[in-house]
Amino acid sequence: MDDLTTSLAECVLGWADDEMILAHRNSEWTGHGPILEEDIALTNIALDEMGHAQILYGIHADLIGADVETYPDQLVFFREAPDFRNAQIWELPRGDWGFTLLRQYFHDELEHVRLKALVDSEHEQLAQAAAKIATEELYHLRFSQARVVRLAQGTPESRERLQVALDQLWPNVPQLFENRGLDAIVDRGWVPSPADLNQAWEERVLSLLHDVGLEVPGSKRHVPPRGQHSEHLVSLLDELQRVARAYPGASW
Amino acid sequence: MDTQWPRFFVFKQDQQGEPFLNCGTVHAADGELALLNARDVFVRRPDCAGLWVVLAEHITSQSLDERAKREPAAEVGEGSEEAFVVFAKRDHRRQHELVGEVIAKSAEAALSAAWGQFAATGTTVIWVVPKRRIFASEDADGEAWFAPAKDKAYRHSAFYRTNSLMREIKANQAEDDG
Repeated sequence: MDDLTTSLAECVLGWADDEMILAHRNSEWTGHGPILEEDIALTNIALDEMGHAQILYGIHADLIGADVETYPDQLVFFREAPDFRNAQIWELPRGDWGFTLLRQYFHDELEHVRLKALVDSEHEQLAQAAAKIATEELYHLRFSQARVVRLAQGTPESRERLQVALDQLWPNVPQLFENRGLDAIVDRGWVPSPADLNQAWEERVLSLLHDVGLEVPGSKRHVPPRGQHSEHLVSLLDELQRVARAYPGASW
Repeated sequence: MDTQWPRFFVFKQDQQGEPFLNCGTVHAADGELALLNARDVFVRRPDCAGLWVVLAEHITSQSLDERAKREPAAEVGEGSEEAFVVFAKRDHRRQHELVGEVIAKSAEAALSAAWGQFAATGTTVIWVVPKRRIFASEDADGEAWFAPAKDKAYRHSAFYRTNSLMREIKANQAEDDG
């Protein structure tokens, strides 16, 4: 396997882990949503993101020559926290409904700009996967965007809670666009440049946050590399992996 | 205090060209969110070509019995004419389905016109809704909202062996412990 393929496999694994960890966090709302309809809606989205993770894990497996059917389960259920490549923002506890939906909105805008670039990727397999995922993401974006607007412009309490969520989430944004190890595959035309994505994402997100009157925190802290995690990932994995580890090989 | 969000009736069109059928209700803070919730509650798997939602209070209903006791004077209506969409319940096993439109000055006048035009044999209840009160999915939504469901298999919960598997696991554990 050449260096370029190794870099791409690593990059795709990061995206897959992002989807998987966010999906798990959102799935924690199943049975606990504010009303039945919202509960069903967020559960659906969590399932969709898990589906996207499965597609991306499959591509990763294919790139490194592992079994596309079985390797994704190995990755999800039997890796330790330091081996996960997700950005920290997705592993933070689910918080309140506003925190969850604002984070989902950040994800959906990121997917939106990234998938838009990826459908024209020089890497055929990635371009095809992006086209498939992009359809579903359009709906997600409309869902989360509509809720962020309502909560920001709802009651003083919903607005205050959303502002608190923004203050907590914003410092974690730069890690989403860190570019360690990506230059070669960007030059090759396989993946879009994180700097371009960052610009496109910020343009869209800042415009919405501005329109609904939320205040965006200014400071950005040191950006940790992917693979550096908070303690929250450990407890998340404890729950996510428990059954699979207690009963290895069980299937249903 | 009623802490529930308003209730919206949901109408779903399975295929292009087929009538919109009432498939249930959702709660939501407003029309757009109701439309999104309807998509999640009713269109996760089955085919769908279009969705409408209508706030419950914008539906005016009249059964055959109520029709018999009506006050014809109330059916004249005042103000300007507008379009009303008409749904008919054609027999007790079927949901209300879209049958057409009438132009009228009030819901009562619309009901009167609707019974005249659409009371095919067997119709037991008619609903009228001002057309401007309908929140409808747009054709452009189709691909993102309805297409993904087509690729997914619908599986009954019995498909998954979770319960029997957990029983096996527990039985094995009991043996090990015993």
